[in-house]
Amino acid sequence: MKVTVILIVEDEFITSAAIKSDLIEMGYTVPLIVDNGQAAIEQAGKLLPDLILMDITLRGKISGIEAAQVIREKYSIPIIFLTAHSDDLTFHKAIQTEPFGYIVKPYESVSLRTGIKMALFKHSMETKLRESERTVLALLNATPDALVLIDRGKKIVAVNDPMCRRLKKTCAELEGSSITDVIPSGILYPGEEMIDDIFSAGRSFCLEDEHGGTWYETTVYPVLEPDGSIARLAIQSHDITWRKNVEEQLKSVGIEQIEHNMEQFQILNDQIRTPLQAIMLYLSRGEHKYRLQIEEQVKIIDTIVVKLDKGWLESEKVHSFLLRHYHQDMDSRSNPGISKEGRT
Amino acid sequence: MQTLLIVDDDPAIREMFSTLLTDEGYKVISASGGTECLDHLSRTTPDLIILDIMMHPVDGWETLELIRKNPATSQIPAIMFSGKSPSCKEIIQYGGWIEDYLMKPLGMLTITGSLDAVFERRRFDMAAHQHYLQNGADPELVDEYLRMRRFLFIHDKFPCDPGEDSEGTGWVTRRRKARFEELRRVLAALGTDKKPDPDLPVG
Repeated sequence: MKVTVILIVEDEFITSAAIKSDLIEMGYTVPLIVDNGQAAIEQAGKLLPDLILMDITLRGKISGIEAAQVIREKYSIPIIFLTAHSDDLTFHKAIQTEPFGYIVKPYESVSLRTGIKMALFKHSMETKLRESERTVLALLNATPDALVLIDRGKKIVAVNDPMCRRLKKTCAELEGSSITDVIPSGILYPGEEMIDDIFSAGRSFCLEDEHGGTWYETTVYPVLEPDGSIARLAIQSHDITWRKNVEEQLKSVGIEQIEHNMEQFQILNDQIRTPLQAIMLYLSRGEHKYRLQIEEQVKIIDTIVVKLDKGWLESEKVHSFLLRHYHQDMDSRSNPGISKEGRT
Repeated sequence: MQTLLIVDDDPAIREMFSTLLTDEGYKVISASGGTECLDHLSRTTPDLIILDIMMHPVDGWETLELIRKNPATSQIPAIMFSGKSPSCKEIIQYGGWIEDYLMKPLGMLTITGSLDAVFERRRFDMAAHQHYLQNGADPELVDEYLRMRRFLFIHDKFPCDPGEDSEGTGWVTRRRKARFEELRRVLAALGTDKKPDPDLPVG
C-alpha cells in the first residue's frame, strides 16, 4: 500500500506532537515537523509530501499563508490550514491561497481525519483533471492547423497555440473574446451569417481563403451536445499555400503548353497554304494540261489543313477557358469579397 | 490605275501576284515584310494593301496596327491574306480595321472578284461618309459606324461565337451589333434627301 507522507508546520511543540501522534494513528507517515515558514518551503521541496498541515501564525518573517502561497505555486502540494484564528480577515486571506481545508484548533480527531481524506481526494481529482487537460492540449497543439471552439454567442471557448500564433495574440487574450472582434471578417473564419447558418442547419462547411500571401482551407464543424443540440462550433483552418502554388504552376504550365501548340498550328497552316497559293497562282498563268487535276489536289490538301485549323480553334477555346479561370483566381486574390462584374 | 501594295514574306507569292495583278490592270508594288511595307507607305499611298499575317519579325497584325496609328496611312484600306484562319480575338480586335480577310489558297478569279468587291464597298463607304458629313454628322460617329460595319462583315464571314457570354466574344458582338444599329438610326435620321445606294451590303 502506498505510504501517504504529511508534513506538519506548527510552532507550538505540544500541539505538533499531538497532531503527529494522531496522524500516525490514522496510518500516515510524518517524517518531519517544521516550525517556521522558510523551513516549510524548503522541506516541501525536499520531501514533496502528499499533504501539508499548516499553522497560520508562525515564528519568523514568513506567515503560514505566505508559505502556502509559495508552495502552491512551486510544488502544487495540497495544504490544510490548521489555526486558532477563526476571524473573517484571516479566513479571507487564507482562502486566497486556495487551501484544500481549513481546520480550527482545538480540532477533533474526526474532523482532522475527514479533512485530510477530503483534501487528498480532491487533490488527486485535480491532478487527474490537469493531466487530462494537458493531454487534450497536447493533441490540440500537435497539429499545425489553427483550431477554435466558439459558442452560440460567437465567443471563443477554446483556441490552440497555432491559432494564437497566427493572430499574434496570447491564447488568454483570445479566450472569452468574440470571434468577430479578434478575427477580421473574410479571413481565417467564414462570415458571421455563415456561422449562423451552420448553427441552424447543423452541416459542416468548408472554404478556401487567402490572407497575407497564405492560403487557408477553413472547415467549420458543428459540435453535437449529448442531447443532440448544437451549442458550439469547431473551426479548423489548414494552411494550403503549398497546394495552391502547385495548382497555379500547373495552370500556367498548361496555358504555356497550349499557347505553344496554337503557335505551331498557326505556323503549320500558313506554311502549307502558302505554297498551295503559289501553285494556284502559277496555274493561272498560261494553259496547263492538268490544270483542273492539280487544282483538285490542292483542294484535297487544303481540306486537310482545314482540320488542322479546327484543332487550332479548339485550342483557342481551351486556352481562353484556362485564362478565364486563371485570371478569376488572380482577381479574387487581389479583391477578396468583390464579385466579378457581370457581363450580360 | 489603282495601286496595290502586296506584303508577303514568300517570294513566289510576291512575284506571281505582281505579274498576274499587273495583267489585270493594277499597278503593283510589293514588300517582303512589315518594315519594308511601312517604308513604302512613307513614300507612296496605295489604294489597297494586301497583308500576309505570319511574317517575321513584324507580323501582319502588328503592321496593320502601325498603319492605322499613323494619321497619314490610317485611311488606306487593307485586306488580310493568310494561310491561317483568324482567331476570335483577332476578329474582335482588328475586324473593324480591315476590308476583308482572305484565306490562302485562292484561285485568281476569286482574288480579283474579292478585290472588285472590296473596291465597291470602299466606294460605298466613301459616298456614305461624304453624305453623312454633308448632313452634319459627327465625323467620329461616321467613322465608328463604318468600323462597326466592317467588323460585322468580317464577323459574318468567320462566325466566331463560342456560345458562352463569359468568353467575351458573344458579349462584344452583341454590343457592337446594337451599337451599329443605333448609329445607323442616328445617321439615317440626319437626312433622307440623298441616301447612298441602299442595296449594298451593310453587315
